[in-house]
Amino acid sequence: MRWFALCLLGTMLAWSSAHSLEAGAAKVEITGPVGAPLNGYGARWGRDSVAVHDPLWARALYLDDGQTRLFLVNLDLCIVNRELRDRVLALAPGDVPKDNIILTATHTHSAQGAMIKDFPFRFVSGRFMPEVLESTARGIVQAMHEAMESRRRAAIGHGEVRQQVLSANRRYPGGPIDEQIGVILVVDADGSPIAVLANFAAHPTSVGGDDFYSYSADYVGFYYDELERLTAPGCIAMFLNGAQGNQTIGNPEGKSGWDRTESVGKLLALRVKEAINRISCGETTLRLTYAEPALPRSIASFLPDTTPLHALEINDLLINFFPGEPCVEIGLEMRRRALERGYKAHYSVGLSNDYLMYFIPRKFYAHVNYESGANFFGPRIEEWFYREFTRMMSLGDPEPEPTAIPPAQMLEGPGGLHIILEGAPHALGVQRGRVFAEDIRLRYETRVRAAISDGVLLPRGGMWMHVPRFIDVTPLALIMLATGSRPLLEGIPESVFEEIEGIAEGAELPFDAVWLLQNAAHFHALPDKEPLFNTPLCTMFAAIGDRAGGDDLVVGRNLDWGDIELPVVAEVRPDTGRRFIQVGFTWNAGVFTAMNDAGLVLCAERVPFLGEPPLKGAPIETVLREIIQTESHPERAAERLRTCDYLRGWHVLIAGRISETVRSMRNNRALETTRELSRALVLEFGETITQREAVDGLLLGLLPEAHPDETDAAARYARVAALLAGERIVGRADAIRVLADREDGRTGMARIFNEFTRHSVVFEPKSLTMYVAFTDARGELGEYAAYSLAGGTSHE
Amino acid sequence: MSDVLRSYSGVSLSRRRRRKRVSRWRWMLLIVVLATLSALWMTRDSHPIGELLPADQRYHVYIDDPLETRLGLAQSRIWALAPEGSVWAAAPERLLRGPGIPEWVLNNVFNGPCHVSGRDLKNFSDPLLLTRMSRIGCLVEKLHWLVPGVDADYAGGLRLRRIPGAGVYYAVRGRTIAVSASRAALIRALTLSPDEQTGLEELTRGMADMTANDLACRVDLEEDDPLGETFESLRLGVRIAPSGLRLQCRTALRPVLRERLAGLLNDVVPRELKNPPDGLMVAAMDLGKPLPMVLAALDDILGGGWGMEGLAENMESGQDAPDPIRLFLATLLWSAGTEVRIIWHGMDHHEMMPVPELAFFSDTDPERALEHFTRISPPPPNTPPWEMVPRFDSESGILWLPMFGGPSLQPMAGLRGSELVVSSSRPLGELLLAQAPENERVPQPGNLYVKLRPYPCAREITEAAAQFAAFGLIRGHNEISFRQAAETWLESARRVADIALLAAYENGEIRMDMRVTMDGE
Repeated sequence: MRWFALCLLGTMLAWSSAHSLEAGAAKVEITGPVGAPLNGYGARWGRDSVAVHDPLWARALYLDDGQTRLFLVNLDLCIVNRELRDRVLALAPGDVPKDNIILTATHTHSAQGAMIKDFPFRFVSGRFMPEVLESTARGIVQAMHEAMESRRRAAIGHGEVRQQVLSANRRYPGGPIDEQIGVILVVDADGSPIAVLANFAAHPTSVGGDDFYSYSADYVGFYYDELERLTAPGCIAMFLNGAQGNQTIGNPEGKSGWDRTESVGKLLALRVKEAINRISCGETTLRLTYAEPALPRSIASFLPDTTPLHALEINDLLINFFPGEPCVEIGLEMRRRALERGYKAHYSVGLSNDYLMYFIPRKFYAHVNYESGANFFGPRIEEWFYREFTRMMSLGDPEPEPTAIPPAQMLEGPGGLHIILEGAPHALGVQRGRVFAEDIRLRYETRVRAAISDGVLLPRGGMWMHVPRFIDVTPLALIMLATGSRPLLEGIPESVFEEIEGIAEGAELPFDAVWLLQNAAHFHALPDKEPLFNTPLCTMFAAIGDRAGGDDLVVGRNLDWGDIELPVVAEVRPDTGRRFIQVGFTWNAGVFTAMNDAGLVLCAERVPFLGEPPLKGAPIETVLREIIQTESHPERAAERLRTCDYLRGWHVLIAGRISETVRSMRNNRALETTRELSRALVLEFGETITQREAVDGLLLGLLPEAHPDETDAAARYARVAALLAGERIVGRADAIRVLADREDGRTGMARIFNEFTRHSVVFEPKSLTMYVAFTDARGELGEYAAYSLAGGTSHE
Repeated sequence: MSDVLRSYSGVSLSRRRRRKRVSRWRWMLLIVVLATLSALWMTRDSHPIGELLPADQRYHVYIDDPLETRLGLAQSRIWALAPEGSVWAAAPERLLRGPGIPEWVLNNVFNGPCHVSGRDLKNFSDPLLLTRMSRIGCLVEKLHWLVPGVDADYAGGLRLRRIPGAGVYYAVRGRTIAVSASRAALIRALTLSPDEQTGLEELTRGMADMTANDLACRVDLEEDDPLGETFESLRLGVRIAPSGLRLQCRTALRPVLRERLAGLLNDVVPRELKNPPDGLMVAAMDLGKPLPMVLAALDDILGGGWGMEGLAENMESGQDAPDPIRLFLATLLWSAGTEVRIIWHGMDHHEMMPVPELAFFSDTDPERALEHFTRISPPPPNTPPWEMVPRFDSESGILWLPMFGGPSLQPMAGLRGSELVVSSSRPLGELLLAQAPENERVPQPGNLYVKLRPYPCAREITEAAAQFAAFGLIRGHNEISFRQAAETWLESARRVADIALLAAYENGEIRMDMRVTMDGE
């Protein structure tokens, strides 16, 4: 008897649990008034709509499993902007918590605009019409009310089918698409469908021509009609656009215009119907997670700091709602991660609850195109979504918290700062960024933001010159400059990329801000701009072989730089590759002056008369940074550098030690011995790349006789040649004497040590030691301090 | 008993005493009479102002009763417009406080109109102030030696006085006091030969200007003076009343400039101007020439580039202008008459970007205007409604040009009786077309009339700019700081009811009358 009672109770509990799901769906037309502007294309110039091709709908699904009550509302709109979301939430039925209301747009580019108040966005969405915002919001809320009122016992199932022709990658022919069509079927107790939701990734941007100013739900409208025709009356067809950032519709039947639109919509409905036929609905557990995390820092000041994120689990299906347009690669990776954690299926839904524009994978960050140009949250936005959505998953182990990055070691260095950075590239960057955060932010403000605000970094023509003085174009120009600087990331070594990301993180700046700071000198050097500060115009030389005496190789180098900087000696101990010491400034990744633990020395010198640096390809300091960490052989370093044939206007001095096998005979036996030799060369990046070797054991960064017209540089190097010519053997003391030389009767850059000299370094690769001196506030060269890469010694 | 014979005269002691007193009084009276006569003689008005005023002075400023004017000035609400903490803001208090000299002295020193003149228009180094003192003022001045800080400067017998603390010299002739910062200018004024003195006629003219104003000013300009290239002379009159300020200006253009502007200004005389409809800022203009001719003349004056000649040819030959905007403009221009009125109605803050709503009115020959409208050929079949092609709807009589954005960026035109109505905004244009034409006239004839209401103008501009500030597009401001900064400006603007300017041109002379009316509180 007791067993029977327990079984009865269990059954009742199971029954109540299994059948507690209630669902209702409804649709309400929300087509805006003819005469209101449409949203989606700047090319419409905010003009009024002229007709309705097909109506637009708010389609609401109400779900309540007894624990979780929610609305999922699919809107035939281009985006869900904040004004609309706020108004809908204000009017929404109080039975459902506000955080459980998911609004998602189909992204049709032929729906009413007129709902955005902020004026820069009105260039795309058209003028603000409060009455359109109000009527749309009320229509949406009415759909929610009707869905809730029509609720009844229900069950849910999902299934996925594949397609290969309905969508296409609009950015790269043959590029990835999301082949999955996800289908969610909601049926009532009789098995009659209440709603069908399709998750498919493609831009609804197929309407144009004569209907460019007409309302339409695009292919989604045909899908609705066809699916509702194919299913039972009363079934609400719903549509959840996927990771469609770079996805468009295909042309499966080779049609054009509306025929193509209709064909995709109907074929999609057919595929969904096929999926429905295989779906079995059953007990349903809902789990809706809401978060509003802080976004990565953005250079676009008009974007918000936080955004709402939803993750909905329907049994073993996970749906992540993105507040914008994720590219398909992000959707696919998110799915891979979700499946890996035990979910049976995963859907990404874009354009939900907010609109933060495009989200691109990190690997595309350097390639400027429509999507990447509208990605304003830096290269790590992809990782940010993975992390945030993973935190919201109920399956799988919790993500381990990232390992804390230890602070950089700070040591007292004469005349400058000596820091020791350890770890992976990202950690190296974070350490540097944290230590010098204040300085980096200050330099970003003065060199980038202020330079734009003052017009120094603005083009010398076009509209920029006609903007009245009281208008500050910085917020707009900054975005354009940041986007324009992206091609410089192409080919940048991954480790440097990561390091810059780390610096940005450590300094609490957007990635683009640090990248602009990194390249500020480069931009300032462009012909139509007044240079704010100079790129390095330096002096460098090497004495090699017998000319260097017992040291075998001595390299001397002064770095001349227009701005006063905080000097830094960074001793970098990366996870992989070689340890190195870089002499530079607080803010810069990459190297101009460095030596690694194999004795490889790299020094770069800007030579303006060899050409302007191009606005593409990885900047030289980032290439050198990669080489110093990975190479030991000077020839191989030169070889790698030679592949950067896009570089212009640079001389690079490469010096180091090489091993040479010497064969000899002794007692009629062939002997092979290895001896250490030194090697030094200069690569000149002009129209072509040329290589120079040492003559009589001396190698200069620039040959004065080759550039007689460049009076300052020629005079400086002529002086170096003259001073070194008098020395039979050039040792460290001689090198220091040359570097500190202030020739009487000369001024400015014609002198070796001049008012722009920021650091002076003598390298002794054989002993893995470098001697560094900085210029003090009075312009005097300080004491040389020794830094060694041999063993663990830092500096003496 | 005494046998001394006592004799008594008929004059008693009291009479003798009385006689003595009478005699003293007589002397005293004599002295008083003599002193009075002497004072009258000393303070006789022997030197009219004109005698001390060089005829070749380049600028003249007349102030009627400076002390009385001072009190009126201090009471004006116009000072409320001055920025807080500025010299102007402190002006009322300074005016009331005076220079620290007893009021009765001031009253007697500045006892009539005051005249300031000079030759140096660049540095104003030689201003000469002439005014008449009362007799008491004259007598007080004679006691200058009792006052510390006044030095005597013999000056070859001219007997100047110097007040080192104030950096000025002065001299008194009769009841006229002459004051100057320049010793040379003062000496010159005191040593003028009759033919170097200003004639009575000139002075009378200046005084006549002054009677209507608190301050009148006349400047004769040489070509190398500031503004001298443009104007020969400039006459200004300023009246500051408690309720506002009135500035009158008459200026003569240089013949060279008149010649250059001949196409625009020849035959121009003041005309009756129609009062423009209500707006934040309104203007009416009538030079007696059709608008295209005015613009063509301006085009010519400014060195060309507007292509007005081309537009004229197009319209006259009936050919369409090459581009739609030019065609639209040409149609409107050639439909307009001589008289135009422009109003700034407000702003549409919700358009793609904040845009002003402007309207333009002109008298026109309705038949001719309609002919121009109908010359616009209908767009080719299947032309989308948004394409930028001018269109004319004969039923509604509205001509319009689809542009960018919404209705507030769609220019349109129509006829309202014998008026052409053009608007930058379709809704505004339609509203104005539905209203009856205005027939009220500006009270005085002129060629240009401008009136603005500062506060609504400032408010609209602030609202528009705040949208830019919200995106950091206003230098040095975010929206909050911008609104805070604008509040001061709005507060000043709120105090002014309106500003009106009427300008007229005739025979090489421009007359302007500007009134600033303060808001009644």
